[in-house]
Amino acid sequence: MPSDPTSTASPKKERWGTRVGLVLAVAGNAVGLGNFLRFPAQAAQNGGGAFLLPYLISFLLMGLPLLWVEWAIGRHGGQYGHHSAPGMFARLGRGSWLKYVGVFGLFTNLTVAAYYCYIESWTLAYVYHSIVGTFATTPATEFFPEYLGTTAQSITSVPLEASFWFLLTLALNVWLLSRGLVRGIELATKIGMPLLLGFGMVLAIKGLLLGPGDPGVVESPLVGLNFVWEPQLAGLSNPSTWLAAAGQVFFTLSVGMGSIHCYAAYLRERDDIALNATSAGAVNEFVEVIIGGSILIPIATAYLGLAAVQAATSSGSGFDLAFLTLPTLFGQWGWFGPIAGAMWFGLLFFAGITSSLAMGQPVLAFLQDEFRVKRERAALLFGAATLLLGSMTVILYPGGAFDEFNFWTGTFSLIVFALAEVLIFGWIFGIERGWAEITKGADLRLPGMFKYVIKYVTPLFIMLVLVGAMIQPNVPWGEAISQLLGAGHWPLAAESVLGKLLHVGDNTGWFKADGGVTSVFVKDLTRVVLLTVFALLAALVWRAFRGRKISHEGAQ
Amino acid sequence: MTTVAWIMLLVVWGLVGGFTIFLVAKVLMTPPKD
Repeated sequence: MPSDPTSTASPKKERWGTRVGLVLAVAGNAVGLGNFLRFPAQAAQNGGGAFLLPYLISFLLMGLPLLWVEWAIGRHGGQYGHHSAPGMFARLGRGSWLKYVGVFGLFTNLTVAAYYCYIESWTLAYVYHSIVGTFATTPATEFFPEYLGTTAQSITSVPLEASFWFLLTLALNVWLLSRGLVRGIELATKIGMPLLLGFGMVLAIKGLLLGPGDPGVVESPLVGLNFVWEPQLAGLSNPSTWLAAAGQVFFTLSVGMGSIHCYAAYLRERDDIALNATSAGAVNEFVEVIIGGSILIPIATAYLGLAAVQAATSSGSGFDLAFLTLPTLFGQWGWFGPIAGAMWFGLLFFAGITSSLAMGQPVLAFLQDEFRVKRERAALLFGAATLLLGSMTVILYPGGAFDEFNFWTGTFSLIVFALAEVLIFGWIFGIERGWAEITKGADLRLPGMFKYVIKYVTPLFIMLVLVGAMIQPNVPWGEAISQLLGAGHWPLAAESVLGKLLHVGDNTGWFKADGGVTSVFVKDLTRVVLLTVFALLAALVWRAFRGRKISHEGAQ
Repeated sequence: MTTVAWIMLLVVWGLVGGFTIFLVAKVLMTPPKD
């Protein structure tokens, strides 16, 4: 297979330095801010301990199979010299359309990196402000809107300090990416992941040991832990709980991005993927379930009381607690407060940068493999594109551009790409070949039943998540179905895919009476920009593969 | 913390932690192929 004459492989192929480095890099890709901010809030709001049952089932039937599929597609494509999704997908079957499915693997990485690097830069800025003691004099609830420039009633802002940290974060990403797989990504994850784990454990232990004698403590942190873990069994019969659990598993593993494919493409043909993929997924779960669930909510509950924390996490996100509340609460920890703040935002920064590097690498690999661009130049091009798109999320943040990026690229595109890839893998590449690919060189014996899970169950699971996201109601599902059967009306939630498309709950047009533009205009403009980016990437893929014959060994 | 919350926490932590430690140990102990 590697001697395929249509291969674009360069003679000196880049490889991972060590196996541990690879597993840490993939785990670092998966471990993101969501492990610490989204998981505990989702669990607490969706049945507490009862959330974990659908969560673990989703991990087994959807998360793990998707990890194996993505690693297998990646290693398979890598043998032909492709380290990005378009080339990999072109090798999965005869249809010339397959490479365009792979465009998602470039699109999501580039556009998610654009706004994700902005969030990452906030964490870096917060490390600095924690150390210099900003939050001792300015509450984070005042600091953050000032920092983002959202205090004025405008749909645009040019926040100078936020722009500085954004540029610095981008420069750091570009520099690390330009150093290559081993000296850049692997080195960053070998430093970042142990520090992340260490910081997380210190904060979890310190937070859980808070007691009534500590200044400012109004409740035991165990009350917060109880909020996360007390099983509300009624939640199990609620479809929202299942959808939330499947969604959390989906997003926490960073599947449907194209970055796992890319990392796996740097393996040799007979290198293991079964054990590597499963281990990386397990490390992510360890960080999420054990560490992620033990910091934010217990500490916030200790100082604010349970009712305030319940209200702050009602949206299913711990974002406000993390950025608006915790910096001030750390002020109660005396001399350790600034260190704790730096540790908290430091761990979020490491979680962020190990993910953003994984978003950059597929774009670099595409330029290197298909257009023969040198790595340093490819890193600069990635940085420039991320800066351009990211500036839109910075400047139009108050108008809603950031949220649009997050929804369409960081949520919707991932589900669509994951559904497409698992269907192509199971039904076009063929599950027999696919299973042989997954188990080739395996250091871990995988149960054969997963062959059928990948072909039938995982696609069904993702379809349910997709349909759930499309038509999510603004009332409980049972009530929505009653309304549909009784009154012929479906109460579409504003945050559902259709609700977003139709601007449900947003009755303004593009322009105000004074001629100024509205947030609806900004949202639609953002969607046009994102569609244009997708079309441009598809055009690049067309250009790269024009006139090139692709072999498909044994394609069905 | 209620007893049932403790049980949930310990069971899930045991499962996730045990699974992770087993797999990471296997990665570290498996010799390279070449």
